[in-house]
Amino acid sequence: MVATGGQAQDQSQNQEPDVLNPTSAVTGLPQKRYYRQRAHSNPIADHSFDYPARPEDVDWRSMYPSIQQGQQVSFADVGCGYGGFLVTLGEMFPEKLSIGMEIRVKVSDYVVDRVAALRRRCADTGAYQNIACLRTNAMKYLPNYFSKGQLEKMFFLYPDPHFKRAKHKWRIINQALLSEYAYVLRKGGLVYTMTDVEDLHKWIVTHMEEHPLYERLTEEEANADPITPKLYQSSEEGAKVVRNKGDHFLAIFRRL
Amino acid sequence: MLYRSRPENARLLSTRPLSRASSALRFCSDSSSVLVTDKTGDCYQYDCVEVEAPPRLLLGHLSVVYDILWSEDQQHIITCDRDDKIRVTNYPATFDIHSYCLGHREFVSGLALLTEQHIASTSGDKTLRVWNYIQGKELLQHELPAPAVRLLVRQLEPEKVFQAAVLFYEHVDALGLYRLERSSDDTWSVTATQLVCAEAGSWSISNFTLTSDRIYITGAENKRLSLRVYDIATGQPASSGVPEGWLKMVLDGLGANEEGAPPFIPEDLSVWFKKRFDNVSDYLERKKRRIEEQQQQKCG
Repeated sequence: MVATGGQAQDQSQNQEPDVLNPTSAVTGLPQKRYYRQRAHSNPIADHSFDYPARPEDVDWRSMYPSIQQGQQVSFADVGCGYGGFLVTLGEMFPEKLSIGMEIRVKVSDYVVDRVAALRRRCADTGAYQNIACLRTNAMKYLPNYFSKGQLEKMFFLYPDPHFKRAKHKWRIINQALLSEYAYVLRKGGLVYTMTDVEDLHKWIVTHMEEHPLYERLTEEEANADPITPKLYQSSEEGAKVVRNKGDHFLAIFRRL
Repeated sequence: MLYRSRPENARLLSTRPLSRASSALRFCSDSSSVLVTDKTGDCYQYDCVEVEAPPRLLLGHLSVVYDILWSEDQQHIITCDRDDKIRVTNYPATFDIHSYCLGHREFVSGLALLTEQHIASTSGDKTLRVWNYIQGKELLQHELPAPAVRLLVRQLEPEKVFQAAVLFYEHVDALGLYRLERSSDDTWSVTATQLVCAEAGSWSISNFTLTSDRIYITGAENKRLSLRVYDIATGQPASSGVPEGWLKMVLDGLGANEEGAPPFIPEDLSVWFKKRFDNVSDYLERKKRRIEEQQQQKCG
C-alpha cells in the first residue's frame, strides 16, 4: 500500500508535475487509494459488460476525441492495471493509438480518470489524446473490438499468475486464447510478456513456442527493441518488483 | 458412445469417455471422425475408424459451445457459443481462426449449413440470421417472436431454397418455420413464415426433428418422456400416416413408459441467458458521493 502511494509521488516529481497532486481528486489527478481493488478477477463468470457486437459498432471517438478518419487502435495493453505502461506507450508513440484493457471496475475507472486528468493538464500540447482505457474482459471480447490483423503490438505485463492448477484455465495465456490473439494481430505483430513469476514465464514460453503462429524473438532482437527498457520501468507492478529486487522475465514473440 | 447404424439394427462400435459433459456433436461428411464440444468450450475430434486413437483438442471457446458445423469440403469448422459469437476456424490448421460472424446479442443456439459459403444461425436475441461465413459478413437478419433455442434446416432446392425450423424458448407457439430464399449470390430473404403451436404450454418441449411432411417433437409430460407428431402443412397433430401404436412402440423402446423409469426433466434453458448483474453503478454512486463530500469539506 505504502509502496504504491510512493510510486504515485515518484511520478509526480519526475514526469507529471502538478498533475499528480494527490490532494485534489476533483481537479487534479485521481488518488489511487480510492481505486484499490483485489488483484484477482474470474474471467469466465458473467459480468456486466457493455460490449459491442462487432468492431464496427465501437464508438472510438468517445475514447479518443481527436481520432482521425480511418485511424485505428494499433497497440493493446491487456490487463493494463493502473495504466503506468499505457501512459509510457502514449508518450513513446504519439502517432499510434494505444488502448488499455482492464477487467476490474475501480482500477479501470482510475485509468480513465488519470487519462482525463493528463489530457486536461496538457490541453495546449494535445498530449495523451492517443491513449484510453476500456473496462472489458479481453479473454472474451477481443474480436468484438478488433478486426482481423488490426493490432501491431499486444502487451501482457505482470498478468495474474493464477497459481492453483484448477485456475490455470483463467490464465491470460493459454492454448485456445493464443489463436484469438493471433487473429487480432497482424502478421509480423509482436506480443510482449513480462512476469516476476518464473513458473508463469515458463508456462507462457512453452505455450507460445508450441503454437504454430508465434516465434520467440532472440535475446539480441528483444534487447534491440526500444520498448524493452521501458517494460522494466514503467508498469507500477514492475516498479514494485524493481524495489523488491525480484527477478523479472521478459519474452517477446512475433506473430507469423 | 459410437454406433454403426444398419437398416435392421444398430451395432455398438466403441464407447469412449469424455472429459466433460458434451454440449454439441457433429460428424464430418464421410463419418470418418466426429467433433464433440463440451461445457467449457473445448472442441475435440474423435476418430471413428481408429477408435482407439486419443481425441485431439482442436479449439477452445471461453463459454459453452451450443452447436458445431463442419463445412462440406472439411476446410472449416464453425462453432457458436454463449458469448454471442460464431467462430470460423480453419481445418486442419485449427490454430488459425479464419473469421468471426458477429452481430448476435445473446447466446447463439443453432447453426446450419446452407451452401458452400453460407450458414444460418439462431440466437437468444430473437433473430434468425444468414451469413457468408468465409467473409464473416451478415446477409440477412430476420426478427423472431421469441428467443431461439434450436435450429434445423432442410434443403428444398439446392443452393437456393431452404426451410429453417426454429424452436422457441417459452412461447405460445413452439416452432417457427421459415422459407429462406437466395435471389442472387449474397441476397437472402424470408419468403414465408408459419408458426406451429404444438400445444406449447401444456407440456415442456425439449427437441424436435422434421421430415418433408411431419414434425416430431419430444418433451416431458408429467415428467415422462413424450413424443408427438404434427403435420407440417397445418401445424395440427398428425391425423394420418402415423401407424397405430407406433409412438407407443418408440417410447417403449426408450423405456419411457416403464414403471419406475427415472423422471424425464428437460434441460433448464433459462441458464443460457446471461445474468447481467450490475457491479458498476453502485461503485459510481459511491464515488459521486465521495467527490461531493470532498467539495463540501473544501467549501466549509
